[in-house]
Amino acid sequence: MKSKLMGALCALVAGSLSLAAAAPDAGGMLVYGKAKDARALDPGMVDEGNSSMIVSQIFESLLTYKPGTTQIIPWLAKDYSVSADHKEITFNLRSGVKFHDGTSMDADAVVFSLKRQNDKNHPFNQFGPWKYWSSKGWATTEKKEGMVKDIVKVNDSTVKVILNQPDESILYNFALYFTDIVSPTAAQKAGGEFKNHPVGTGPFQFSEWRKDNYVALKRFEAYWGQKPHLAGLIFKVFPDEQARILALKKGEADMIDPVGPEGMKTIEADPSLKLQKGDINSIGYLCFNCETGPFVNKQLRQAFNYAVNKQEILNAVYGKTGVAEKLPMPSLVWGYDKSLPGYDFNLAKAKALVKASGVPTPIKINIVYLPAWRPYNPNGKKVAEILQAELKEAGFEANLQTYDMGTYWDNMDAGKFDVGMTGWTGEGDPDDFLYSLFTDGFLNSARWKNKSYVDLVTRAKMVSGIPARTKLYYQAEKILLDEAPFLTLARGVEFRPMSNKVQGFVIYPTGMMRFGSVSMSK
Amino acid sequence: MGRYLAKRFLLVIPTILGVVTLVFFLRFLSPGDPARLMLGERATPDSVKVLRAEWGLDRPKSEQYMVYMSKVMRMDLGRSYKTGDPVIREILDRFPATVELSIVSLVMAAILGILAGVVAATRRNTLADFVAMVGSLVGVSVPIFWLGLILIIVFAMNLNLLPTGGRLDVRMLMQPITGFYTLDGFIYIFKERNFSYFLSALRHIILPAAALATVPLAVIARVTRSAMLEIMGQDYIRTARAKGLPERSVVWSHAFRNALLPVITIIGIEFGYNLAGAVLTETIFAWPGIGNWMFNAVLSRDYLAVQGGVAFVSVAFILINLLVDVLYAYVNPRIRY
Repeated sequence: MKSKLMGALCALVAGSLSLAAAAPDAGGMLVYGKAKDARALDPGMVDEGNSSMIVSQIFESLLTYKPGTTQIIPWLAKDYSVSADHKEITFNLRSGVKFHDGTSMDADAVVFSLKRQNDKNHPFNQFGPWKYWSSKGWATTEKKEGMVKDIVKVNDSTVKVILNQPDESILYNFALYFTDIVSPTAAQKAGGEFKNHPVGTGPFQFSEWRKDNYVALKRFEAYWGQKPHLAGLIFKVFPDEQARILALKKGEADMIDPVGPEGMKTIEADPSLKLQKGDINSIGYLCFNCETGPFVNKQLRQAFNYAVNKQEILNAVYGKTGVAEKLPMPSLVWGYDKSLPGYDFNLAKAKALVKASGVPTPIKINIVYLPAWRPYNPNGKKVAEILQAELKEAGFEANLQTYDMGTYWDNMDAGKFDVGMTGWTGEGDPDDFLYSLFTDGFLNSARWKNKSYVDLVTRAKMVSGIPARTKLYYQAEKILLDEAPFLTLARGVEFRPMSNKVQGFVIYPTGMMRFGSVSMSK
Repeated sequence: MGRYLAKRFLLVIPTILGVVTLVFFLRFLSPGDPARLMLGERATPDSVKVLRAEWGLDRPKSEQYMVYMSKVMRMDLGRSYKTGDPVIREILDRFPATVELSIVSLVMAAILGILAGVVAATRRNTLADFVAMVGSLVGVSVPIFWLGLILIIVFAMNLNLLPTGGRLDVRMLMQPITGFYTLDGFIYIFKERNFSYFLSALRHIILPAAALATVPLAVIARVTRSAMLEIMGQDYIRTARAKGLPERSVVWSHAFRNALLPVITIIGIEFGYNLAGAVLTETIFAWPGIGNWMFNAVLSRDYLAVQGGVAFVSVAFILINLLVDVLYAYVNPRIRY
C-alpha cells in the first residue's frame, strides 16, 4: 500500500515537473539590439522598421496577421464584414479591452485613432505628419480623392469605414501598425508629445525612452489576451554591426537585427546562439523603362530576362538570404500562379530574340543600381556587376550608375534609367504587388502601361472572396510575364540572430514583430 | 580682464552667425531631399511636394535663410524633420553623454600624455623617450574603429572584464539626475545605498574613453615633450640645478609649470573637438552622444538638426577657448588682458 502511494506521489511529482518543463519560463527582460533608434512611437507617424518594432508591442490593430503567415485574422475587432458594394467595412469590437491608462477601447477610440490621420479638421491632425495617410493616398488631398471617405461610429462597439471606391484589398491595411488604436484620453492629454509617451492596448506598456540609447517596455498586467511571458523588453541601440554581434555573444543583448554574411558565420560558430530562419514578403526585381529607350521593345525585355542566370546571382549575392521567384511577387502570397513557366536562363533564346528585334548590337544600356542594402537586395552593386558581365554575351553593353538614396528614387520616379533596381516589401494581398507596382501609380517605375492588365487587377479589388479574385490575378500574371516589364531577382529570406535562451519568437513575413509569445529560458 | 571677457563674449555672436550661415548654405550643395527621405523611399511625388511646402523648402533660399535666422535670434533652433522634436531638446538629451565621455577621456589623455611627455623630455634619446614617442605616433595613426573593436574583443570578450558598450547595464533603469551617469551613480551611492549604478557607469565608460583618448594622448605627449625640451635648455633651469635643487623639483616646479601653456592650449582644443562628438567611438561603443546623432542627421538630411547641432557645438567650442584664455592668466601671471 505504502509503495503504491509512493509510486502515485512520484508519478504526480514527475508529471508536474514535466508540465513545468513544457511551460515557457515566465519573467525576464529581453534586450533587443538594434542599429537605429525609433523616430516616433505614435503608430500613425511610423513608416519604418526601427519604430514599428516597438510600436507593435505597445499598440494593436483591428485585424492582425496569423503568426508566421500572410493571413489576416480579427484582433481588436472580434469580427468584420464587407458590404455588397465593397465600399463599407464594418468592424465589431472586442469588449473588455483596456488601454494602459485604464480607459476602455471602444468605437470612440477607433474613430479617434483613424480620423485624426484622415481628417484635416480633426483637432489632433496638427500633430502629424501621418505618413501612410498622406503618402500612400489614404487621405484626401487638395488634388486627389483619398481611399477613405469617412470613419463612423455605429454604436459603442461597432465602427464603419466608408471608402470612396470599392476595394476589398484595403482590409490588409487594418492589420498594419498605422491603423493601430491609440488611447484618445492619453493622446489628447499629451498632444504633440504622444509620440514620446505612447499608450495603447498591447501586451507591453511604455516605460522609458532615452533617445539613441534605449526604449524600455514593461508587461501590461491587465492585458486582455494571453499575458506575455516576459517581464519587460528593452530595445537598445548598437549602431555598429560588429559591436552588436559582440554584445549578443556576451549576453548584453538577447536578439539583434539581421546581420550580413560575415556576421552570420560568426553567429553560426557560437553554440550559445542561433539564427532563426523565416520567410519574408519582400521581392527584389529589376524594372525596364518601357516608356523610352531600348526596352520599349518587348523582345529586348524578354531577351534580357533569358540572358541573365538568376541562379548565379542568388548564389553569389543572396546566398541563404534569397529564394528564386518567377513573378515580382512573393509566392507566399495567395493568387500566385506557380504553374507559370518564368524565364529560365537560355542564352540561345536571348540571342535569337535580340536578333529578331532588329536592334543593332551592341545595345548600349544603363543600369542604375541600389546604393545600399535593402531587405530584398543585399548588394545592388554586385548584382549590377554580374548583370554587366552576363549581358555582354547576349549583345548588351551595360553602363553601371548609382546615386545617394534620395536622388536614386527621384531618378527612378523620373524614369532616368534603362534598367532600374528596385523591390517591395508588401502585405499579404496580391493587390499590394500586382496593382501597386504595375498600374498607374507612382510605384510603377517601369512606366509600363497595359490596359487589359489594369482592368484585371482593378476588377480583382472589387470582387469578393479569394477564389474569385485569384482567377483574375492568374490572368493578369500571364500578361505580366509575357510583357516582361521586370526581371525578378529573388525573394528575401530572413535570418534573425538570437540567444538560444529566446523561445517562441515567430518571424512574420510582413516584417511585423510581436514579443507577447516570447519567453527566455533560464 | 572683465573687459576682455566681455569683448570675447560679444565676438561669439558674429562667429555663431557666420558658422550658421555657412552651414545653412552648404546644405544646398548636398544631394538628396529631406522630405523624400522622411516620407520613405516610395512616397508619392505629391506627398513629397506637400511636405516640402510645409517645411518651407520650396521657398527661395534667401527667404528660407531669413526665416531661419530670425528664429535663431530668438533662440529657436526649430524642430527636427526626422522626429518632430525641438532640436535644442534633442541636443540637450545627448550632450551630457558627450561631455562625460570627453572629460573622462581627456583626463586619461592629459595624465598619461603629460607623464609620457615629461619622461621623454627628461630622458631624451633614451629608450623611454623612444617608446613614448613611437607610442604617441601609433596613438595618432591607429584607426579608432579598429582600436575600438580590438578593445571590445580583448577586454569585453576574451578577458570578460568590461561591457561591450552603452552607458550603463541596460537592465539597470536608473533615473538620471545630472545626465552624467558616473556622477549620477555616485549620487545613488548615498541616495539608495547602492554601489552598483556607479560601478556599472564606471565600467561602461572605460573602453570608449580609452579609445577616444588615444589621439589627444599622443598629441599632448608630443607637445609636452617639445615644450619641456625648450624650457629645460633655459638658463634659469641651469641656475636651479646649480643651486642644488633636487631634479624632481627642477622638473615639476620650475620647468613643467612654464611648459604648461602650450599643453593647456592643446587640451582645450582637443576638448573642443571632443564636444563635437566622436562619431566612430560613439558608434562602436553604442554611446548615445551628439556625434552619432549629428552623423545620422546628416545622413537623413535633417538640416535643422545639423544646423542647430553645429551652432551649439560652435558655442561650446568658443566658450572652451575662452576658458583656456582665462586659465593662461592663472598659469602664467605675466599674461594680463
